[in-house]
Amino acid sequence: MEEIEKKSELPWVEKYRPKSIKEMAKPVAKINRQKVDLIDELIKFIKNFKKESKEKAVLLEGPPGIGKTSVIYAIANDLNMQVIETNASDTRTQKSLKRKLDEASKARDMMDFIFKSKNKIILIDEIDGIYGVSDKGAIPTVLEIMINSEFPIVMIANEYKRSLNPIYKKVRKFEVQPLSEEAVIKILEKILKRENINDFKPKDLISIAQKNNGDLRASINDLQGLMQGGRSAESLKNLDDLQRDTSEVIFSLIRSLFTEVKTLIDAKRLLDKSDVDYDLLYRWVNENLPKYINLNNELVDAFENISTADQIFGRIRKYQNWALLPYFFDLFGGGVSLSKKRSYTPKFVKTTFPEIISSRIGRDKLSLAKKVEDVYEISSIEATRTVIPFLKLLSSKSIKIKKEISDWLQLDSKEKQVLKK
Amino acid sequence: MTINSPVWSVKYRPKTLSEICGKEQIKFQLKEYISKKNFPHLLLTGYHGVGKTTIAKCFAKEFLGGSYKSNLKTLFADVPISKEERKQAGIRSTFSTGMIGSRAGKKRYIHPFLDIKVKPFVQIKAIGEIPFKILIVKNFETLGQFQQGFRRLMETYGSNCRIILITSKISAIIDPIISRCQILFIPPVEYKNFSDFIEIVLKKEKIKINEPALRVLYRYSEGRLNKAIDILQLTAMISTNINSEVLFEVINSDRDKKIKELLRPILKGDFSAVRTQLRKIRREFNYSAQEIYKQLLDEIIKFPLSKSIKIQYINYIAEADFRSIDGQDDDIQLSNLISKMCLLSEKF
Repeated sequence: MEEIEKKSELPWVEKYRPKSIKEMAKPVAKINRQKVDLIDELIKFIKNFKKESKEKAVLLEGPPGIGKTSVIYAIANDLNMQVIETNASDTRTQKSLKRKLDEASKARDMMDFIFKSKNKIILIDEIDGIYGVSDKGAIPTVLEIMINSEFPIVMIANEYKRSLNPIYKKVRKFEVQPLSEEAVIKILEKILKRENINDFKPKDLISIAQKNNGDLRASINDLQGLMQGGRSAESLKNLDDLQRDTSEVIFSLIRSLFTEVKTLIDAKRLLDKSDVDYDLLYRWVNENLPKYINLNNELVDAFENISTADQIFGRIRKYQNWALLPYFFDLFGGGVSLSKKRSYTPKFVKTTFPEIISSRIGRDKLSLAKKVEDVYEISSIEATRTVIPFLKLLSSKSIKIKKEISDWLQLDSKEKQVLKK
Repeated sequence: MTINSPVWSVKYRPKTLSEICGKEQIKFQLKEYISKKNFPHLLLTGYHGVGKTTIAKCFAKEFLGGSYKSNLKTLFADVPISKEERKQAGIRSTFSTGMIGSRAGKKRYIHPFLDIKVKPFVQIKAIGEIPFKILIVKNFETLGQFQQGFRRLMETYGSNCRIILITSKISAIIDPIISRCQILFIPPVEYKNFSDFIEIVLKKEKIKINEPALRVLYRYSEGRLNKAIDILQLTAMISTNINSEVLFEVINSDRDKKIKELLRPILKGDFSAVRTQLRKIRREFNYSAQEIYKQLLDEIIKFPLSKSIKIQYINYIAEADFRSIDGQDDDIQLSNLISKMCLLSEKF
């Protein structure tokens, strides 16, 4: 009884984590664009594993929340094996990684002999989290462990990383596909049934599934948030919030940042509440700042803060020092909004998307630049900076010269369009 | 491809050393090299657009004669290295055996520019009856610290390949390179040579220009013939009888003035106008933030303002440039800069 009570406190994601592969939504994976049965292959790999076998490790790659980790735990449970997990995100350095994995992969400790204990699976989760200066040596360590391991190794990554190339070369890579909407809905329905909740609208489930794009974990979290939020009219409003386009969330966030925030703590709370990517958010602030602050001296203060925030963010990325993140938040949130003192804000301000300006040559210009490059014998940079603007100007003067230019450079219709712009 | 070009600056581009207008002393020296069939590594320096590359190319082609196609290569040090080339560099990297300590046994990467673009060319023997190949490297100063690697190449393969380096910023070239090169300063063209050359173009294209307008053209183009001819052609589209008024009309729409035009709203203190205009310029010409800083600096120095204000502006630009090193978003740093500039203009 106690156990059940305890269980009800668990988040649903943990509570309904599959214990066996029979309970799972079967993930589909691809190897070199060929569809394979992921569970079958994994079981084969783990069962046939011997110390002498050539294949020591496999890699699962796919978006978050689709059951990559769960499938390993479920298989381990079914085969009565133990999972030794390391998150590359917490044990990052070479030393700690090695210690943890070495212990697991080589030394069978005393207890193992006594209890004739379970076989082990080594799970290196979030292996794409290995990077940066401080992680130097982590990848060779993983490779080394792979060679000497007595146990099968499963690595999990979210995305392709070039720094992991040495690992890719050595292992089979399964690209795990996101779950279909139907599969997600089926599981959500199952959970609701087991929670004894009957008064839900099928439409809600569909919209939750749609919102999360096959991310089952996020879908279950959303479901729990919705269902345990009282299941009243209010919760429906919550769902509206879920469905709402992220850009709308940002619109209102930016607006309240400049109009409602009175103290630093206000700003902090506001930013904490939102689940918008901060990386994007501060660009939104930069874009819309001049609309809310129109006195030059206040503008300078605001930009000074956001520019320092930008600098700090750069350093965070460069040195992987995420401890600096609070400064970043306070500067671009509170620092910017509190720079506004006497500026008058009109009742209605249109919030706009941040403009991304790149100094790279756009794809549309590339083929034209190539032709100019060849004829003028100059670099592509020079071509876009000096020659193409001139050609544009020249060809705008008369139709005759435009035709001459396009004949001379043998332009196709797309490249002609670029000249027209 | 060039003779029948509708673009005059290409059509009238000199093809031999003798066709180059002015610069008699340099031409004389280079012809001397050709007759002796030998020359040291060269470093051509001079302002942007005065014709350094044209001279280098004409010289190299004449020097190599008929076999220039396989023995001459032009490289751009500032062009980013593509993904495939980077990959190649990764493959070609070697395990170091000579090093001791923490670097022993580590993979050693050679800068991809040197490894992929320069080395394959300089290593292969010259083809035909010429003493050596010629390699032209433009914008050499952008290589920065990797100039050091170039020094070794110049020594090792010097007898097989002569190198002509081209730069507009000689101060950014490291001393060891300078000491290995013959330095040639290419001056801007003089007015007399300039007017002679323009005269030829005018005759062939059947247009006329009056004396004051020609002076304006010379002053505005700062002795850069390419630029002058471009403007001349644009003006000729409006009228075949060019006077100063028509010329000014064209000059005002010129690209180089775009950054200068930013100064007016800056001095007015109109932040939004500056930002809109700046973004438009960046989008059109793919300027990086660093180039904007550089051009703003140039314009501010030229602009008639009091000294102390100029210094203050320069201070702001330097600070913004420095911050851009760490920063992730150039637009933020640029906005910070112009907001400061706008505030200062409000004060005086």
